[in-house]
Amino acid sequence: METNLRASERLVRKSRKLSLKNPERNGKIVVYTAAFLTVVATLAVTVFLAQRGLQSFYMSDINPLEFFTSTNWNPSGDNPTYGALIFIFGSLAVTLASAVIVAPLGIGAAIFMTEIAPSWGKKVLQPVIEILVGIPSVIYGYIGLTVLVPFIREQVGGSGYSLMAGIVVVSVMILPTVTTLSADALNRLPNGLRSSSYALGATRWQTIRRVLLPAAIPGLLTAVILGMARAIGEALAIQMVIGNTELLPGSLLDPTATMTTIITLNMGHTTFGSAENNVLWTLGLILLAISYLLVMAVRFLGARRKI
Amino acid sequence: MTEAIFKTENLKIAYGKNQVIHGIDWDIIEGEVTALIGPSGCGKSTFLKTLNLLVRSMSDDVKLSGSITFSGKNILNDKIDAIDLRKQIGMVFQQPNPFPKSIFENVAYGPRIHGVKKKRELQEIVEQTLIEAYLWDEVKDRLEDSALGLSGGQQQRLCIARALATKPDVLLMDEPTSALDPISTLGIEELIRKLEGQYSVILVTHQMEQAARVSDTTAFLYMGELIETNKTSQLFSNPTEKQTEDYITGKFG
Repeated sequence: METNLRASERLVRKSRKLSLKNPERNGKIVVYTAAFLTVVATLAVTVFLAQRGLQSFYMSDINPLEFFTSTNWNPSGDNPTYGALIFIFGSLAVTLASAVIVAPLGIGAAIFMTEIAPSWGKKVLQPVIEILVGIPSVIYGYIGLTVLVPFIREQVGGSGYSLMAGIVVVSVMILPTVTTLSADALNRLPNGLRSSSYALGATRWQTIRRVLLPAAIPGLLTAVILGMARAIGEALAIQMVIGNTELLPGSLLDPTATMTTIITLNMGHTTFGSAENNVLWTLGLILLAISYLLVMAVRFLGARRKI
Repeated sequence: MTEAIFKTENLKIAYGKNQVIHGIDWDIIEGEVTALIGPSGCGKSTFLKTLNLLVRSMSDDVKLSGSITFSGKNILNDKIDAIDLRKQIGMVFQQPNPFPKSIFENVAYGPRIHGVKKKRELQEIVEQTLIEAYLWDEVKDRLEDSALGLSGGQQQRLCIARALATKPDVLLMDEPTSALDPISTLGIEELIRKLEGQYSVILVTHQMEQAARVSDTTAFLYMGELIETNKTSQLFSNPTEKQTEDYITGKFG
C-alpha cells in the first residue's frame, strides 16, 4: 500500500503526521499574533482618541465652529472660551515653514552625498547624518533655548521666544531625516539611468537635473512628508523655544503656541472629564488626523513610484 | 586597407590595483560590425566603456594608460572633451534602461542637452531616429506615453534610437540582448545588421552565435588579453589560436 502512493500524496501524509509539532503552523501563529496586536493597538488608540476628542462637542457643549475658528482660548476662566485656532495655526505654520526650508536643503545635501561625493558621502556624511537623526528632541530644544533664543533676541529683535525660533529648531531637527530619506530615494534609482545619461554626453548637472531628480520625485516627496510628520508631532523642543502664549502671532518674532505644546503644558493640571481636559483630547485627535493624512500621502506617492 | 575607427596601443585598464586589461593593440575597422567575445569577467565590458571614457564617469579609481586614437586624437589625453566625444559615440547597455519620461523625451534627450531647442527640429530628429531604429510604426501614435510602458524589446530599440539621436559615428553595444527574449533578440540583431555601413558598431556579447550572425570581425578577449581578432567567418571556422578554438568549441568559459 504505502509504496504505491504518488509523490504528492506522500507529501500530504508527511505534513499531516507532523501536525502536532508543526513549525510551519507555530511560525504562522507568532506572526499572525504580532500583526493582530499591531492592528488592535492602532485601532484602540484611534477609537479612544476619537471618543475622548469628540466629547468636547457632545458632552461639554463646545461649538465646533467656535473651536476651529475662534482665537479666544480661556478654558479656565469664569466664562470659559475654547477657540483653538491659534494652536492649529501654530502647528501648521511650524510644520509647513520647516518643510519649505528643509526640502531644498535636505534634497541638496542628499544630491551631494549620492551624486557629487559618493565615496566621501557614504563613508563620512551618511553615518554622521544618521547619528543626527537619533539625537533626542529635548537636546535640540535645549540648544535652541540657550543659543538660538538669545541670538534672536539680540540680533533680530523681540523676546527671542518666537514662532521663528520654533521653526528653526524643528527645521534643524527634521533636516537629517529628510536628508537620509532623500539619499535613499536617489540611491534606489537604477544605475543605468546615470550611465546612459553620461553616455549621451550629459554633464553631471544635466544628469541630476533632467534624469535623476524627476525619476526620484515620489521618493523625495515621501522624504519631505515624513519630515513633516515628525515636525507636526514634535512637542518638547518647540515648547522650549516658542514662548507658549495664547496669541495669534503677528510676525515671525512673536511668541505663540502649537497643539502639541498646549497639550503637554495643560494635561497635568486639568481634571479628567472636564471640558478643559476634553479640548486637549480634541487637539490630540486633530494631530492624529493630520498624521493619518500625511501617511496616506506617503502611501499614495509610494504606489505611484515605478521605475 | 580599410580605415581604423579606433586604434588602441598598449591599452591598459585597472580599477585601483586590479588590472583588468593588460595591454591591447587593436585596430577596429570603420563601418563594420565588430563583435567582442569572451567569458564573463574577461574585461570586455570595461574595454567597451573605455572607448567613450564612461569608466571615468562611473568609477573614481580607474586608471587608463596607453593610447586610444579616435578621429586622429588620443582620447586618453586629458584635453579631450568627454562630452563632445560621447556625442560622436553612442552606447546601448545590457538592461534596457529608458528614462522614466515619455518616448519622445527619451529620444530628444541627447539632442536637447547638446543644444537643440526648436520643437520642430526635435520632432524631426525623433521621427527620423525612431524610423532608423524600426520603432516608429509601433509608437508613432503614442509618443507622449511613458517609455516604461513599452515591452523589453521595444525599450531596447528605444535606447538604440536614443543613442542614434545625437548622430554618432560609432555605436557601442554592451550585451544588448542579454535581457531580452529570443524574438526581441532577433529584432535587435536585424537592426544591428541594418545599421552596418552607416555606423561602426562594436558589440560585446557572450553569445557566440550572435557574434557569428551579425558581425564582420570578431575579437576574442580572455583574461584581459586580446587573444585573436579575425574575419568572423575565419575566426569561427578556422581559429589560429588554441585558446580561441577551445572557447568556441565550448571547452571552457
